[in-house]
Amino acid sequence: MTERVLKCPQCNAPIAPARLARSAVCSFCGATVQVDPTAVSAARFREAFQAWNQPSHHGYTAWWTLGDSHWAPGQLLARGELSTVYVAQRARWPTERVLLKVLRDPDDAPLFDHEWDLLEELQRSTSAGAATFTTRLPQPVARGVLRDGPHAGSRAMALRWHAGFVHTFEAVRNVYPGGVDPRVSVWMWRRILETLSFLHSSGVVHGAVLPQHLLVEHGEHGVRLVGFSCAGRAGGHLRGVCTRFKDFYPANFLRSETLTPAADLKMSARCIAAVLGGDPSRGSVPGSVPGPLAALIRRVAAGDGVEETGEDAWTLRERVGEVGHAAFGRPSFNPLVMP
Amino acid sequence: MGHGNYSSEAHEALLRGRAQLPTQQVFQQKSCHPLMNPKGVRLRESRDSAEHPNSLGVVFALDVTGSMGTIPKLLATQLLPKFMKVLTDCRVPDPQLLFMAVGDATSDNAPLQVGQFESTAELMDQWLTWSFLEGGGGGTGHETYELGLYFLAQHTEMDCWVKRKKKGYLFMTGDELPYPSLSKHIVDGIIGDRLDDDLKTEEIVAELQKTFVPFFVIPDLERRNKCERRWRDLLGDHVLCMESPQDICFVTAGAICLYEGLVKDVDGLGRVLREANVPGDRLTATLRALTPLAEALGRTGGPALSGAPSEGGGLQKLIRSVFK
Repeated sequence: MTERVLKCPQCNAPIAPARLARSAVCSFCGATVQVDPTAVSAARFREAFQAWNQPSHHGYTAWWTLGDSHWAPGQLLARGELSTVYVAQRARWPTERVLLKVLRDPDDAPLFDHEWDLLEELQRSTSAGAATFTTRLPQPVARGVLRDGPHAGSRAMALRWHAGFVHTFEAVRNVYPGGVDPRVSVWMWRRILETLSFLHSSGVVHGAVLPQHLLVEHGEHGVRLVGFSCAGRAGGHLRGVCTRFKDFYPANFLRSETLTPAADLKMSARCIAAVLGGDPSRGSVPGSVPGPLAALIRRVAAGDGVEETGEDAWTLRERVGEVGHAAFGRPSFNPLVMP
Repeated sequence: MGHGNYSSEAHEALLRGRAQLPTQQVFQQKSCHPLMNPKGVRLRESRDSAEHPNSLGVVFALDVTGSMGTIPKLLATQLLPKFMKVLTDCRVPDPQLLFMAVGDATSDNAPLQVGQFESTAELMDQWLTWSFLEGGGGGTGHETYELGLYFLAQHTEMDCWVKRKKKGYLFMTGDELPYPSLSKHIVDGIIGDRLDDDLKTEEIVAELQKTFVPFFVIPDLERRNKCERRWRDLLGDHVLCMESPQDICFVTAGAICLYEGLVKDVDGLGRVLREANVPGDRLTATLRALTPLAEALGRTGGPALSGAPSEGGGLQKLIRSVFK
């Protein structure tokens, strides 16, 4: 490996001393040239960076450039309301795996940018449990305008990839039209409420707790909440409604269009009713669901007592735990099986 | 460097009785040890020998500023033999460890201290405990990690790379940001190299990764927020967020075993760590910290949760299908 090219002081021919060599012999005139052992050239580091940052150097054949970072796109995962979502990895070594959200309609840019800003703000939250919960929320990695590829010119954002969270509640409903095992719904709901509790204590309301924004962990008891483009400060204005899931929005929420923690709780109950094979708008569930759990889902979905009693996400999580314990005994490991 | 054999019994014996000692008695240096001063050092070498024909360079670059003092103490009083045991159990042939201490060149008296690559318990322990835990740091949210990275990129030579094209391993611990660039004046003052220009931290990492598999290890989840994103921009999935500093040895040894393919997946690593008598709660936390890396390497056999049934590679298949 050569470090740099020097000029022979006697005949001006190029000399390439080995790295850390104290001297070199000019192959043209035979002069021995002493090399300063302490001299280090920054050019070697610059060249290393150019090569390191060049995806083809790492064997990548296709990549999309976002700002000054390069991403190798993988499979198309989903088509959300605003964006098309791919998995991707940084076209470099060591790599980083991300979700790449590509905005479809430039008119939606304000919502898209708002989502990024809010996610960054949540990462800075100092509420109780922030260290743990910030890892469970989408973590911003990079954003900008794609410079090449089929979506050149579109805005995009990269969010950290969390493996295993690939099944939306919508997919679960399709696989289990008659409803999942009610024991599964207990931990599902508790996970959602834990995340909501952190959001609410950080002063944020999600505003779109919908089946397509809830991801279940494969083979584990995890649920992640995504799709923060309509989220905002409690008391703020609801930025948008997903018409395809109108049944999941409480009527007074659609009327007032004001973000309240209670709206998130009601929508979470409706999502649970839906995966249990029930009716989200009324919060009703099939008869196979134990009575107390069915009653709790119905009560919260309808919003009875949620605003009046000041019930919050954490107290509701505890209540779900009590009802689950009464119905099914001690908690046990019941992961959701998906094909 | 790197002569002599490793003996876990000798290492355990060295550490016996140390756990109760105050830190100042374990680390007695009041300034940089002359043999750890990087000034004028040309090379730190990890070489093959008759006893160690397959040497593998492993560097621990430990942040020794105020908030990070726990990790050197844990290594020196109880954990380092466990690190070696996991490597031995996974049949890493001849690991040679080099200890570096990293601080802040803008405020510390000893911002960089460098030991030698060693194979024996006594010498590993010697360099570790000769480190001067200055406990400073700049209070600026940065430490001069990039100075340590520069030293490794410019002043190390390892037979694993030179002879076998196998990169060494670097585990840098820390809870702050690197400075965006490294001043040639700092390099001149601390190491003695006459650089012809300042270097960006990215440029140093690019040079370093030619010969090292670099990892940055954050001691707990609370301290992620200050520095995780910046380090991931540099090292991606090679940033390991631990849940407690106590996991340092298991997480780093596990990372080597996964990277070398010496364990098939996270479950296999769990078995190795259980045999090394890692307590249950620490085992679970270690596997959680390493699961993202295992997935990035395509080696994940199932949920990283003790007692959970293995998926028989179900998740792996799922991830493979997603990252075609």
